[in-house]
Amino acid sequence: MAEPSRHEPTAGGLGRELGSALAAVGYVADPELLATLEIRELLGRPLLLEGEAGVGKTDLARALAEARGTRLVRLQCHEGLDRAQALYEWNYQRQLLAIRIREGREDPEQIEAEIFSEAYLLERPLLAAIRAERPVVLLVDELDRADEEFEAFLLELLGEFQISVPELGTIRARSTPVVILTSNATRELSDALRRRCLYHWLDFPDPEREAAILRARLPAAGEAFARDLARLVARLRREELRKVPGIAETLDWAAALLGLGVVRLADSPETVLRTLTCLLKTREDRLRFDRPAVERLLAEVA
Amino acid sequence: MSAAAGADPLAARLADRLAAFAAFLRANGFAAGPAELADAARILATRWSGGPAALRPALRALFARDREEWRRFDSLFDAFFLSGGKVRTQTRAAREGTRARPATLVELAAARAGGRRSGPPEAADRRDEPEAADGPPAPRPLIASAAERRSAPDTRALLAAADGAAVEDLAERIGRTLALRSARRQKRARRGATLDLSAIIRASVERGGWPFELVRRRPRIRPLRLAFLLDASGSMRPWLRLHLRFLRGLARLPWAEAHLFHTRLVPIGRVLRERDPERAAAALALLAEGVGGGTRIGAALTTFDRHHAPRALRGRACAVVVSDGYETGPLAALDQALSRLRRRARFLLWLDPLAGAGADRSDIRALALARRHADLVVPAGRPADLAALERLLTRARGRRPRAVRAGR
Repeated sequence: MAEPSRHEPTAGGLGRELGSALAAVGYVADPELLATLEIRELLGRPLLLEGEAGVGKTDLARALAEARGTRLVRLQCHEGLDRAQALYEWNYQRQLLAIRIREGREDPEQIEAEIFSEAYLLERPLLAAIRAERPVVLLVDELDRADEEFEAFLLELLGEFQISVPELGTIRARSTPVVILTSNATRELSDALRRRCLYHWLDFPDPEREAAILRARLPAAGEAFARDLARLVARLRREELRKVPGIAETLDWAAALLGLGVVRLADSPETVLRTLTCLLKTREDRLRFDRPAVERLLAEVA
Repeated sequence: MSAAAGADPLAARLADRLAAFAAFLRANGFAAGPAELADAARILATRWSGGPAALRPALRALFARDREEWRRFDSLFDAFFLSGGKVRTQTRAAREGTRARPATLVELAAARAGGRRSGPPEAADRRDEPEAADGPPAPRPLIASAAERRSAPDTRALLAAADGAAVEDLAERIGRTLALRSARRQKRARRGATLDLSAIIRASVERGGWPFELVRRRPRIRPLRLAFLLDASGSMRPWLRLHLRFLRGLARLPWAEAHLFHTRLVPIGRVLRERDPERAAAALALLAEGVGGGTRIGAALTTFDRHHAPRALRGRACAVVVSDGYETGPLAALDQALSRLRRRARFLLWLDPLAGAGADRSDIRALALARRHADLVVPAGRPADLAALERLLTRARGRRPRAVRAGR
């Protein structure tokens, strides 16, 4: 935001609209992100978001769904995630029961056709997303944690928006979901996947934006309080910490301070020091800040 | 796009310019294909009114594939659209020569660094490196130096050594062997492996619903991650070629990662994976400024631990430091860094190229620390040593390796 005049034109009409819609649900996006979201609307490609933990990748999907007034379908990836958990599964118990109940009474082919029908299909997130009547926001969270095979399978979905179920045939999307993929870059994603996506690197917000986020989420926070806090956090992030605090941590910390009745940070270094655990999550980081250090930081940002 | 080109001359010129920009990006390592170009034309059609400032973030989201490209895009965009096509003419001129791409990359970086060096990397190199750096391990530079060397060695020669193919294959074989360790313990559970109900039902369909065949779940195979940290200081110069080839072989595997360090830490995995040897050499030349200078092992390992280890050493991982132990930084920092690394990695190996070469290594204090923290300190000065490493790691089968005998 150092050069607002240069950034301003990046948000076109659609971007501005989207920006205010997101702000209404508590997500303060920067113009560059709005530009990316705008061309996502234009091109309909999936959006791959990367960034440090806690910069608001997952929250963007939530806010986008809320702003568009649609459902958020979330798929949390983990090692060993397979099609059964991501896509669909047959309801085996019901199928077994159905076979037993109809045993000897009907023609087996008919039973087979029946038990492999949609009534016995359990929808998992990906299938739910493309079978929805209205476009939903599909969030594939932390894709880097899933195995490479799953990533390859996801390509079919992202490229064609269709899914093949061997027993039922190909299911085409009724509506094209807004697909957001997030990654913490713990693993290099394949080039094939990257090629299908738009890419956006989310950075930690600058102090002004973080203050705006604080004020949007915590109406009780005063302007000066939010500004000082955001500056202090930005200052802390520049330290060589083992675990850099994210926006969620900032919000937690602000809530804690407000709950303890702090109005001005500089007035209550003791409380700041005591609540610093909301922000610093490893012992090593915590031990680096004692009272003089905190007072020095407070003097710097005030 | 051709439809737009027919419509009015301005659109046609813009489309041409865009295509030239895509070619420029491709020359700089981006994957700007026809699909991206078509989408770029659509973006151009809707967002042109905003001028370049509006276009840049939109095109960046389209063309960039990862963080590194995301960072580089702005300067490339500016160079192409805002500097009167100066860079473009350079690219074209360079492409006509035989060593087209490396020159472009080097020149771009040189321009960014304020034109520190203008000639090709080789020319600059030969001057301050009078004698050939390969051959048998020479005891020439045995004094650790804190000086940062700001020129790059002849990286093309480093990567193009003819005998390197065998070393590369060896490295890949080691990585693959280590990867074939199953994720779960092999000891049999009392009740046997659990049944996979979905697979049983699927199999029973063809038998009229009778579950004749029981399918059991099997342990999955999960690779053992490898993170190599290669000392590239002056004293390690004689082995640099061997080790780089070794790492290049390892880098073929997606679960292996390579970093180079001297006075700084430089990730080189991406460069090693580059298939085009010309481009790999040029990129390495850019990254390797400082190779052959002093060493700060402790600082480099600390940087690795802070910025890369959470990703590179998650799960089952093996960290390997390749260094002769001539440390110029404080030993306390190295001590701390090694102990952190030891805690993160499943096991920690230290490869010392001078070990086993007849030299007395007992007085190197950094090596004493290495022996304290690492699971194993083994020689790595010759291809045979690396082959022995294969035997050692294979025998360890994903468990902590032990030196049973001097494995040679």
